[in-house]
Amino acid sequence: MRKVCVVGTGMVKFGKYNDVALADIGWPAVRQAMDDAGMRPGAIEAFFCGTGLGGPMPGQRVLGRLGMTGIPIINVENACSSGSSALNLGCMAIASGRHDVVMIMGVEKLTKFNGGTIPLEKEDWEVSNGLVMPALYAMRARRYMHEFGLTREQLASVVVKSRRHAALNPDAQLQKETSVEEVLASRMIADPFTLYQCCPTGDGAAAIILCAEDVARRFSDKPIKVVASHVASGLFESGPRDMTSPEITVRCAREIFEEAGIGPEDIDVAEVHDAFTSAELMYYEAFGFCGRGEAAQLLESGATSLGGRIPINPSGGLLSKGHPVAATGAAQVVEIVRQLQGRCGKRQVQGAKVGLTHATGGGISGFDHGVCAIHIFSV
Amino acid sequence: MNLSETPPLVPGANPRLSAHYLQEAPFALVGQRCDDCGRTLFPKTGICPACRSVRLSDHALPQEGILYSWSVVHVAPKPWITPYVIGYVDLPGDVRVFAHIGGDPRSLRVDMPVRLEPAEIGVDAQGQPRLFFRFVPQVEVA
Repeated sequence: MRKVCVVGTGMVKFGKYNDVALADIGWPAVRQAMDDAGMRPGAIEAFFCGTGLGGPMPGQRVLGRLGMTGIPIINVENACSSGSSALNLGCMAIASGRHDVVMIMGVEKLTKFNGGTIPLEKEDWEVSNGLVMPALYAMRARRYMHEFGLTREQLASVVVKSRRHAALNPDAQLQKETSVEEVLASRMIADPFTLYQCCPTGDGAAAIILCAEDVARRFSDKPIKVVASHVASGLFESGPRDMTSPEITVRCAREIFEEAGIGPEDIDVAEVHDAFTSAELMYYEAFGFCGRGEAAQLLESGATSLGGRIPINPSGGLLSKGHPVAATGAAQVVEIVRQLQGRCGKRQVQGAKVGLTHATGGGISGFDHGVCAIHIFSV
Repeated sequence: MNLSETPPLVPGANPRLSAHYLQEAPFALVGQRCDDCGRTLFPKTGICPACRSVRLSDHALPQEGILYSWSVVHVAPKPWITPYVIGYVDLPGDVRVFAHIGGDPRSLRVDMPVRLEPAEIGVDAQGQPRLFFRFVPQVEVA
């Protein structure tokens, strides 16, 4: 298998673009990535486009604007991991030797649903009987609070850290710093989560250009290696399951660390799927950045803040950047690649050489999560 | 597998198309138990995910269980009227049921005993209140 590199990244800041079509949210991200790689349109051999809720043929709609059609376009739906699943396919297309240069993207327009929680599949038993995503995460959080003594204030402090990072990120949707008191005083969404503890939704896009390592220097002075790319699906379970530990992420992390031949201690910076406050804490443990039940202490120690031992979500994460489903996973990769290239300005993690992205999605009965995609990158 | 052995599609296994998940007297949830491996399933699936058997029998579930966790939902799409409480209830026989939870939300505790009762939850296709079920904290016997 051939080694894969990232040579171009592009991103459209997440926000509420009611009057802009999905195709027009998407193409600026593609063009920015092309400019970043100094690449002409003809160089892209295939396109993998993730969308969770963008409807049919998002890839054709986006590339149509740029006249880049005719190449193989594969559209990918895998819930909140749609963008990162597209990346997994792109990596395989290069590694296998089928293509030398491909582009992947995640693109989403959620404002068309007029706000509220992310729409789920109505045919599903739990969804049709009143399940919403904030409540699913809230039930995990409550159980974790019961078993490990996590407090509401500790949950809220995840948002405080997120906004502190986001204040340094011009691409974050919410950039104003906040306090534990303000987080807890925001309106209740799904107890114990108040509004600030839930990621905002919105619209957005991110694009990444991949190529074979031996041609990477043609397009970038600082190509970033894809060390490993891994996707796992959830395990169907009709009986009890432990909701205080995200089994799918624990398993996917173990498998990718094994594949990469490294461990959590080797990661310098990570973007994890903090859709809700408790999720970020559980992922500290799932990745082995700390032991079971120790997540709140790790946060309070400052280890996961900028300047700490393992900065998590230097971009502000989903909690501050927002979560346009498929665009999220691709934007995490944009952040980590730029971190490793030393291009992140005030939020730069000094000396970062190895980074990780993690996007996981769910919302169907019988699965704790439906899908998990993890990628590891290095300079 | 011989194609003639392919089981027929089972529309009744889709709980949204079937009222067969409720038993009236005594009031109980009806799931399925696999005749081959004994796995209990709720809602019905029509095929056993543990052993792929399609030999499943209707099975009334115990009415009392333990509340694993819950949340008070304040934001939900139409036609749900907030706030409402949902949770997961673990029943004897290794089955977890997603359910609405009754009683004063402030009285709820993780791992507390709960019992099944009929309740109007949500609406049917015509927008009318739907007879469904919920779990409520078990009343202490004096």
